[in-house]
Amino acid sequence: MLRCARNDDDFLEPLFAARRGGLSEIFSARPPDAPAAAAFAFAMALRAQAARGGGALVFIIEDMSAREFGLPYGRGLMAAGVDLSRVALVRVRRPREALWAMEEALKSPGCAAVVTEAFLDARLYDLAASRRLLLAARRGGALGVLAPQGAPAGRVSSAAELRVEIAAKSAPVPSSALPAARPPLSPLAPFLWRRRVLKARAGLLGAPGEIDPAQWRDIAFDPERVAFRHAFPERFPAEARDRPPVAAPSRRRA
Amino acid sequence: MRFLSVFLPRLATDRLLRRRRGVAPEAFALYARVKGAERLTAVDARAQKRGLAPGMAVADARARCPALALAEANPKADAALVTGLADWGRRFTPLAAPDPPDGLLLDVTGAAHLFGGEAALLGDIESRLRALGFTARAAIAPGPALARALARFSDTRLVAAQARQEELDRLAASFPIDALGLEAEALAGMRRAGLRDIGDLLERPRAPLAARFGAQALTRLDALTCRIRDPITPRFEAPAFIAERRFPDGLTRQEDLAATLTRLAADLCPMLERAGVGARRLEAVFYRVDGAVKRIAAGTSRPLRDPARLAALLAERLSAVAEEGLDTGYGFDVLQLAATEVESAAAPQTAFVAPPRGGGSDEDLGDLLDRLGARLGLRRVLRLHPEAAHLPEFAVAAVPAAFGAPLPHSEKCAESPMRPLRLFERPEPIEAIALFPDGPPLKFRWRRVLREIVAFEGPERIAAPWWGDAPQQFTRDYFHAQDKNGQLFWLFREGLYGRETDAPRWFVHGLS
Repeated sequence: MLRCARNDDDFLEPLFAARRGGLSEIFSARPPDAPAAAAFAFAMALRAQAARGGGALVFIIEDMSAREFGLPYGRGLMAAGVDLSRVALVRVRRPREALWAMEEALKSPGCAAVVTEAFLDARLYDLAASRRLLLAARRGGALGVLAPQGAPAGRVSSAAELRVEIAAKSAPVPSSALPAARPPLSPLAPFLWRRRVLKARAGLLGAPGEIDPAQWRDIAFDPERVAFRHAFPERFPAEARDRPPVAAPSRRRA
Repeated sequence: MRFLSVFLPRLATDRLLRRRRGVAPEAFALYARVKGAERLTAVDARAQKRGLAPGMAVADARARCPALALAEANPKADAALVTGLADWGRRFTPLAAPDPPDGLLLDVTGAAHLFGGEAALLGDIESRLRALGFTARAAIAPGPALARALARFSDTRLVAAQARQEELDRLAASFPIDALGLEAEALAGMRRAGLRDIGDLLERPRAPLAARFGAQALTRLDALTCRIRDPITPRFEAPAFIAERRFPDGLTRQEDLAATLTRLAADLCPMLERAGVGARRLEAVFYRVDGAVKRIAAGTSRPLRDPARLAALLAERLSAVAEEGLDTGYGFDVLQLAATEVESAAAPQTAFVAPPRGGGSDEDLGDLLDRLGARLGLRRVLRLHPEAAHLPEFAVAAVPAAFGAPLPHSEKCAESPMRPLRLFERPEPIEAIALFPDGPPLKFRWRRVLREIVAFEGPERIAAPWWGDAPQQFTRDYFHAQDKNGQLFWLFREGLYGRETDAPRWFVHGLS
């Protein structure tokens, strides 16, 4: 059977099962990709809010992150379909405070998702700390999304269920050297990424072994339908209906 | 009306001697430089016994008493100490005022019976201050000016509330004219006229006195004899909702303090409920045995009068303070909890309202934000309010959650043009290269890295507000731009080329 990804294949779907609660880590592939990773974290929070059918979004931003990459901008969030009356922005001075605030927010029954951006290091954010966050998320039924900045992916050992590395999707370079030939932005511009799954709890995203940590895939978020889907910038073959599901052995050999 | 005045004659020297308990020097004085000469400003009891007095030159004082210990006067510290003592005085009455430079004034109307009567209250205050290391004299009278004069110039400590006017006049007549508290020139004028004490003034006809020394002198005189009502200015307005507990021994453990706060919250809530209000701002005041006063304040995002919620909020704040180090010393013996700001709140309607879908209610979010605000500081927990402003940085206001929740989502705000997800608190200047002075950017250098723009959208022109009072603001042209790595920037060029400026500057305002 020819497996062809459907256009709205939401690979994260199990994560948003009703009131499940969980903890995900979103790393940026390179330091400049941090805004893209944060945008992905916003998208996950939006998706979690939609799955829950309400609840508040809490953004926890360390001062250092705010200086580096700015604060979440209300108008941009509104354009992405966020209801600002259900949003709280918490600014913290230190990473330790960020973890504390995140745990408090996850425990609260009023929150649908908590996004934390902080410069965490391995001394502060370890297995015990992440386990606390995961338990708090399970108790409150909220999705915790941690976007650690300045930490190389994979170096941290944690209890998070999902760890995704995000890179900004590079734009196609125009063939012509003329600057006037520069194309307009893709309409989905802030919501297009390249992702690879570094870690997923067994059974979370299908059977173990199905995820290839080295495989980069393009993913997009549709703010109108509040859904993730695979993005296919290149053409892909249409599903062939007039062909046997598996090619004949003789042909395969040839 | 009953007023209590405390006179601290040796405040300045006591302030320093208190630090070295037991090892007081032979004689101690403070000095300051007055017109190039060093002169004493305050002396302690032993120095006074040896004939030293304020105003004496330091060299003379040294000659008279070689063992004299000296320190420089610090009027600011003295004033701070008086203010601190006024806070301390709030353990007796909520209406306590500093009476600079060396006293306190307390409005003890209706408070004295809590301390076993007025005589006992005077004794209590004096002995407590003595234990803290201050020389103090206190007096109670029907008016603050009279109480103040009694503490300073008389042996009488207590004037009965029902004293007749003649008795008050007779009492006041013996005070020197310094008791009026007028400026030095006015007093010197009175002395030149041969007026030595208040009795001299009371005997004279009023009109010539007013003509010669000003209406102020007569006002003071009337205040002194309690003819006019002369209120004091308490350091803090007395809150309408306050609960208090006292302990014979000081509390030192944090759990005890938290448990007491819980009980105080339970005391406070019925008061709030009776008045139909909820607390928006709470203040807990801890009076330490040795006179120090600590306060913790917590704000709420909505009117609150649920004891459990109030207590949880205060416990959070208390543990935050304790982390930084709450110096318990010998313990806290008086704890007060006051709702300093209240807002009317209807009685909660229960049972008929179904909880909203998704479980989370505004109550839960409010609780969370209060708790975060109590720990992190109220200004760090924000809610975003869309505003009708066209400059991007003003289009959304981040308002502390304690100052009110935003209005529900309105459709009108939703149809905004494309905006980035993140905005810098202040735009970062960049060097940009554009093909034309008013064209889109080609390349730019941000944080030392050169970015090549491969796709862009714009410009979107945002004019400076002409109605404001800042004529220097320029028009901005905003571009969304994507570089080769896929990073998205929100750039703007400030100033229209040729019309507003010849060298437009570029900024990065947001990322997404």
